Amino acid sequence: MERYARGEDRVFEQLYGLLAPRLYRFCMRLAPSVAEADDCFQETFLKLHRARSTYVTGANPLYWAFAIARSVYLSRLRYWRRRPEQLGAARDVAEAGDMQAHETTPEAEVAAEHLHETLASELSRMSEKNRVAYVLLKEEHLSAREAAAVLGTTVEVVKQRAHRAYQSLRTALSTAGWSEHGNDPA
Amino acid sequence: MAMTPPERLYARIRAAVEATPAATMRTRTRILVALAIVPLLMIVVVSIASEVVYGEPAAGLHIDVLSVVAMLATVVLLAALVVASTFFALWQGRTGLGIGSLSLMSIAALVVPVYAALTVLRPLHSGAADDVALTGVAISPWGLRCLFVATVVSVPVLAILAAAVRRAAAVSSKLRGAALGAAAGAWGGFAVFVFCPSGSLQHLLVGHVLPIAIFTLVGAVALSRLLQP
Repeated sequence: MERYARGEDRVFEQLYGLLAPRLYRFCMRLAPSVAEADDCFQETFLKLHRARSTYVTGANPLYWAFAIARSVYLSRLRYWRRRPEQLGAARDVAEAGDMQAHETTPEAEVAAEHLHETLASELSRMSEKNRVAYVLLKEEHLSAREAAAVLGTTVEVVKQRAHRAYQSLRTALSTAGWSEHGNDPA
Repeated sequence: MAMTPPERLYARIRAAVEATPAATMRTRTRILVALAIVPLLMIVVVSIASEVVYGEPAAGLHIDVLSVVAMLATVVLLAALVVASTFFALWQGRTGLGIGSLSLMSIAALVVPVYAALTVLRPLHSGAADDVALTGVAISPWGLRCLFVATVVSVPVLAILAAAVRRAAAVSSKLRGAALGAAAGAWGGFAVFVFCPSGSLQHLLVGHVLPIAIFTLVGAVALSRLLQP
């Protein structure tokens, strides 16, 4: 990133290779549809390119990219809220395909899909603030301090939001018949 | 588990990036240039304005001063307020994401009351200068001349500071704009403090304090888009 910030355009491919997989997953978690996630991802990279001279040497470029992606997503959210009639179809959670079943039996695949649908559905239902805090801490494995910097808030607030998200996911899973030990229909 | 984005996205992004120019001057350099220009600008504007209106530079520090010690202490505290608000509004930190929203909000909310507490609550001028007989200059009870001087200082300062951190606020851009506005307003407030010898409460509130509040609002409303990446 440092070389790219200095104006070396030829390192873009390398930078893309480093950032894209996790950034794309982050956009998928933020956005309500795959098409929206694609647009968010594309716009984030374009903004990252335009703002490259603002990169601070030594900073983690991925966290910086997360912050830009969230800013892009919030701008798009505000845009769509002003034009609700143009909202696209709601996300089909199964289309994300980021959690593939490792077991090959049909039962295991169905169970994994059910678990994924429950989690994705609950994540998409909760507030954006709680969701993004949960994603950064539990899925992207940022420390509370790093997540607080990405979200521009305090460590305590990030922990509270992630905890709220975690609690609502637990409740949703429990309601769907999942326990901590797996599928355990009542 | 990471996710690989589709190939077609890479092609689209690559084409968009190649077609989009990006600034190459680093933000740190722009900030240093801004920090060199802003004090000079303020000194030039105040010197010229004070010389033109009162016939001497820094009239606010000389004419009708009640206590030299209190005046010096206030100048030092005001300078500290201006430097601190500017520093934190521009600060990028090690993460490149600046200080948190709570700190930015504190800067935006505190500059006006701190400035007012330093310059209005404790009288530094007796108010004799408000009488045309002392200076030969009619000072507006509404501080219109000071409002003008503060604007002449704060507008370019705000533009310079915003240009320095353009596209650099990936987080809390509205609050960053408000903090920059407060910092620019503080430079304008410092300028009129040095420029004006009035001791009238109404004049101080309207001509000296109000511009800072206005520029804080202007920063919050107008700068957000400019500061976002």
